[in-house]
Amino acid sequence: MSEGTRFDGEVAIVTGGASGIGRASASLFANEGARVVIADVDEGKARRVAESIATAGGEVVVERVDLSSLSDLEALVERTAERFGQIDILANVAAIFPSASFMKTSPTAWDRIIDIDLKAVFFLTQAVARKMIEQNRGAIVNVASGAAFRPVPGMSAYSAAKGGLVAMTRTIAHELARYHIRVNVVAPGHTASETVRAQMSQRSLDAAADGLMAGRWLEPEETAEAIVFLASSAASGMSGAVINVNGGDFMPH
Amino acid sequence: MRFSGKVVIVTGAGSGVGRATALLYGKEGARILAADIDEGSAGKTVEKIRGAGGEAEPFHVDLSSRAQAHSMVEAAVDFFARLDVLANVAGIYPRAPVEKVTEEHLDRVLAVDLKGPFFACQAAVRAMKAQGGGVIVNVASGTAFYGLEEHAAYSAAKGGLVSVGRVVAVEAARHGIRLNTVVPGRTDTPGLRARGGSIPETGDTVPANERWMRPEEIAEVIVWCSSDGAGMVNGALLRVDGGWKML
Repeated sequence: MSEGTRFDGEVAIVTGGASGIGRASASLFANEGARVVIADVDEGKARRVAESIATAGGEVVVERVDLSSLSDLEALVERTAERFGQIDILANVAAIFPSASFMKTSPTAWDRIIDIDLKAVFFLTQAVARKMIEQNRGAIVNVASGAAFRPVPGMSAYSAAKGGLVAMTRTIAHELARYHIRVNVVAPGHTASETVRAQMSQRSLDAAADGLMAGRWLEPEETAEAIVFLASSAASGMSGAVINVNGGDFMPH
Repeated sequence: MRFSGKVVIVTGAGSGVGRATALLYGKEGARILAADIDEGSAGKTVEKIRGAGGEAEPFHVDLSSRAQAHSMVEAAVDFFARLDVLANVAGIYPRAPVEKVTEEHLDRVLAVDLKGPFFACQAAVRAMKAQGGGVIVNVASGTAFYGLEEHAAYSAAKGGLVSVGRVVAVEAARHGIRLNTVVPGRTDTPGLRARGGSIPETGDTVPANERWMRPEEIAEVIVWCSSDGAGMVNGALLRVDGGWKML
């Protein structure tokens, strides 16, 4: 397995591929020879990422997808299967994480977070797995969060979605094992994604970094490395597993 | 190659997961101290690494001795002038129902499976601090988390190893040292085969959660979590059981 060819000929769908961990994952998959589908609600941003991947010699297409629409999810899978004839990898990276205290979380906010961060992953995985079952192979990587395991104030609905994601991954992994489909989770810690950088000043980023075990925030690329590893044949022994990427900030069992 | 110029100690390098791990580090360009209580088998691993163009030295170690665990780390630094990775793979797993576990059985298992890696970690942290960083990988076992009959002493040692690993990860992080714990499920090793009983086929046509793991599959995860690509993976548990137990 030499650098640059781990995914030759494979097709990878990356949700949230227009920014942050999704963007980093899309680039890494493409660098390693995969044909990448960037699925994102922000088509403009997705196109800019696709251009930079294509400039670097990667093969990439953009699909505009609203994850809260089940028909968008079905269409994404159908178009990808038609275009490439196969789907080898699904990286469920997209998520929203609006902050609201538990006492101020409205039913509308709850529904929106659960729809995007949990329900969309469930049904996109189901749609992709239909193709993978036909192929009798596949790898799915779900991106959870430290919020699935420990308290993160302002993230009660998000933590419910991410905790649910971890739990359902195990059952899905068990059910799909017979088709040689592996399903795993990466749980990143504090990540300095574009979205986070846009929301926080450098000063508050630095202040928060002092409290982190590694003394710094995670870069999206560092989580992408774990996603790509789990999708690769080197992780053939891993399914239903969680890799925490947090520098040692917390160590769930 | 991910480990060009790096120095790696692999314990239990004479067979099974340890040998697969040493061979993989060799392929990735590392210089390896292949440690085992059976020096002959460690020598065979070294021959294979050298035969493939790699660099390795065999080392005899009885991990039940703190002094020998420390000498092992000193030997790596003597041979290769540094230490980047310590992979604590060696383990013994004699079977006995709990009511038949003798004091000697318990002492021996705790000495080899817990005390040995503990003092190897201690010496490695000293060496790695001095050079500004490094990675330790401890290989535990699913028995740290679920009840596997006739493995009481072994599960005590492996549960202890998981706990110790978290503390070392927290203490050493500020020195640029990471520690991760790999948790294999059922693995088809010569050691397990020698113990008797039936081991099913491990071919790829069998679903991962039904087959036993191959030593190479555990080795891949050990090597990855000690690589630069896993630079922010610290204090993590990496389960490699194909989805058999998931806990």
